[in-house]
Amino acid sequence: MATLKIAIEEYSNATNFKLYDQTIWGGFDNTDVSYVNLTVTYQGTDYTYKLWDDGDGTDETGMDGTFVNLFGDDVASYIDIAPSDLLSGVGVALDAVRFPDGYYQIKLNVTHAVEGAMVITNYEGFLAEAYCKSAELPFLLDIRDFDHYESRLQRMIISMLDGAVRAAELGRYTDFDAILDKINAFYSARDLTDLW
Amino acid sequence: MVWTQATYDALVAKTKSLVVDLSVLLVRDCTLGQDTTINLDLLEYSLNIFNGLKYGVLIYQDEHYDYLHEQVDIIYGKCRKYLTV
Repeated sequence: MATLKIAIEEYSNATNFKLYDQTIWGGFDNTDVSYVNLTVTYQGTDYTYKLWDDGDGTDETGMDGTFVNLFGDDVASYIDIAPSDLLSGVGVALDAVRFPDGYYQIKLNVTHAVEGAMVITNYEGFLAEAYCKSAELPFLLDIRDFDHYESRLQRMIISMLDGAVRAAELGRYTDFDAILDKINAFYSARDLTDLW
Repeated sequence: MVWTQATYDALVAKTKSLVVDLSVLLVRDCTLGQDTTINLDLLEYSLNIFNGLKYGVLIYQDEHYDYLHEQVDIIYGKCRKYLTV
């Protein structure tokens, strides 16, 4: 009995995320897979992207006999998902270009002839823009007046970015939100403007 | 403690929780008083442990694993009065 396992990695410019299939299939046969569907929930709205469907011939993965998992012929294979691939129930894309920073619930449904209906949900904090902003830190030092307090605040924000990512992974949405609010307030108070 | 995938996963989960709890603690008290400064150090130390776990999985021996576990317990002990976990 295989247990579906996926990994997500957002691009640092937020234009895509990598979707890996880390399931231990114990011998993968692409003909056993009849349906693969990705659902991304962002700010309460479900956005879906059908990747494979025997019923209507949908094939977004190129899955064939050489594949060792859902997304390629290597254990490190992945597919790129863009925000424009993900459509809401009324056909609106999640975004035209980039994933906005925030908390994402990412669910993969697979229908497999042997395993039956399989589903896995990952929780992710996408913070590409916040991380890019942190690249502007530290601000230029004033050689006549080292500001240790400000320096520690800047270190704290960079560390809290990692804290926010971990909060999302643990599904702790309220904590993720509180940490992200603090980070954004810090950026705003220092005139670090939105990058995109 | 014998190093297994299950004990490793448990320690990763515990360290992640610690990182989040310390971040939330800093959100609550962003004024850098003495406690906050200590908590920031603890957060950064916890992140170091987490990164060590994340990237060092292939080289872990029982002895090394025991050491990391002990470090996490020390941090928990240090800030037990603040943490909800």
